Amino acid sequence: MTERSEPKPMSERLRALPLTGRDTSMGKLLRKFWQPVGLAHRLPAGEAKAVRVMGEDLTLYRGDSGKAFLVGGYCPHRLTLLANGWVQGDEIRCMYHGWKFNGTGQCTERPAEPDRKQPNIRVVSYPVHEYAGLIFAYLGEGDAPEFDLPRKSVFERAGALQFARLETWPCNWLQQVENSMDAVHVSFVHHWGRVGSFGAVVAATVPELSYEETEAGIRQTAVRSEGSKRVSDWTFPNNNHVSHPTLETDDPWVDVGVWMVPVDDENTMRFLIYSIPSTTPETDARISEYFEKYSEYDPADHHQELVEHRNVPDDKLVQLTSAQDYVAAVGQGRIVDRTQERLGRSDMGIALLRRIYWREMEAIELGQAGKQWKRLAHDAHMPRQVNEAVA
Amino acid sequence: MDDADFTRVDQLLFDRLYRGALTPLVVHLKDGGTITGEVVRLSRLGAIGGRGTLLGGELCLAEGRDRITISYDQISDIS
Repeated sequence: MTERSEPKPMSERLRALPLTGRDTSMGKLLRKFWQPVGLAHRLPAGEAKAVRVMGEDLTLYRGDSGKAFLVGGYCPHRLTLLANGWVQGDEIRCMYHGWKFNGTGQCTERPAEPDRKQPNIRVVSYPVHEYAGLIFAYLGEGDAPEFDLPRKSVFERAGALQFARLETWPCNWLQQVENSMDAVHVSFVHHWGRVGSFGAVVAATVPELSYEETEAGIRQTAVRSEGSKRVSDWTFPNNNHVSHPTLETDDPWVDVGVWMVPVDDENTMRFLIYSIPSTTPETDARISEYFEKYSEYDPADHHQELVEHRNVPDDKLVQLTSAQDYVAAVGQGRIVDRTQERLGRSDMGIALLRRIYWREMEAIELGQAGKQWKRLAHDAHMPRQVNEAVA
Repeated sequence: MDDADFTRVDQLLFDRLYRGALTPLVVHLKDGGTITGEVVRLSRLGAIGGRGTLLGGELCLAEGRDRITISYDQISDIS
C-alpha cells in the first residue's frame, strides 16, 4: 500500500477542491457516484437533449421504448451535435450525414459509406438509472455501483406528491454544497429581501451546531432554541436533504433533496426533488397547483433583478428560498478563491466537509479504496421546528 | 468550562482539522493519556454566536470500529 505523503500546502489543497475535470482528484471522486443529469419529465420518448456534465458534452435521449440513454455529445464523423439528430427506436441518428449510434455508443450505420462493414467506431456511453423523477448517470470508470446511496425512503412514499425541478446557476458546484453545510447562513440569507415560509421557522439567531459523519455523509444539527432544532442529512459527495414547511402552517412538511452537479467548473445544475405526503384532496390539490404555478423558476433567469435591484420573487417558498441562496452563492463569483477566505470557528462544518473531501481525494491519488459510503440503514430524524409545535 | 480554556481547545481542534495533516488526530488528555482517531461527531455549546452561560464541547473519535467520546474539559492538547 502506498503511504501518505507530506501534507500538501494549504493553497494547493484549497485550489483542488472545486475542480472537476476528468483528470482531477475531485473529478475522479465525483465520478465514482451516480449523478443526476436530467429531469425525466422533460425527456419524452423519441427526444434528445445536449447536456454538459463535469465539462463533458453528452447526449441524453429517450428511445422509443421509453428507455433513457447517455452517449457522447458529438458525432465522431464531422463533430456536429448528436442531440440535433433523430431518435430511431433506441438509437440516435446524426442529422449531418446520418451516422447512427446505439445506446452503448456503438456506431451501427454510416449510410454514405460504400463499405458496409462497420468499423469499430463508437462514442462514449454511460449507464443510466431513473429515480424519483430524475435521470441519473454513472460517469466513472469500471462497473457502476448499485443504485442505492441516492435513495431515500421519503422519496419512495406511496401516493406522495412529488415534484422534480432543475436550476442552473453560474457558479461552481462547491459553493452550493458548502452553503448546505453552513447552517449559520440560514439565519441571514433566508431573511434577505423578505422572510418566506422557510425563513419564518428559522429565527434570525445564530444556532449551536453539531456534526456527525454518518455512513452516508454528514448529519448537521442546528439548535436555535428549545423549540427550534433543525437537521440536515447531507449525503456524500454532493446531495443535501432538508425538510421545511410547505405553504400553510398546518400543511405537511416537504422533504427536499438537492443534488449540485457541475456542468463545468463555473456552472452548476441543481436538481431538486420536493416530496410531500398526501393528506386531504383539497390540500393535495392546493399544493399541486402551487408547484405547477411556481416551480418553473430559475433565479439565474432573474440575475439582474435579484443582484442589482434586490427584487425578490413574490412567491414565498420555492422561488424566494432559491433566489436567496442564489444571491449568496453567485455573489462569491464563478469560483471563489478559498485562499483569500477568513474562516472562523463557526465554520467548523466547512472544515469537516473539506477534510472529508481531502481525505477521499488523497485516497484516490494513492490508489486506495476510500470510504465505502452507504445509504443510511434508518432515515435521519428530521425534527419539525417552531411552527410545527405551534400547529 | 471557562471561556479561555474552551476557546483554546476549540481553536486547537479547528486548526488541526482544517489546516493539519490528514492523518488521525492525536488528542492529549489532562490525565496524561492520549487518544488517536478521526473526528466522527462533534457538538459544542457556546462555540458560535452569542455566548450562553454554558460553554462546552464533546467529540467522538473513531479508530477502526472503536469509538471514544471525550469532552473538551478533558483535553490538554491536540496534535
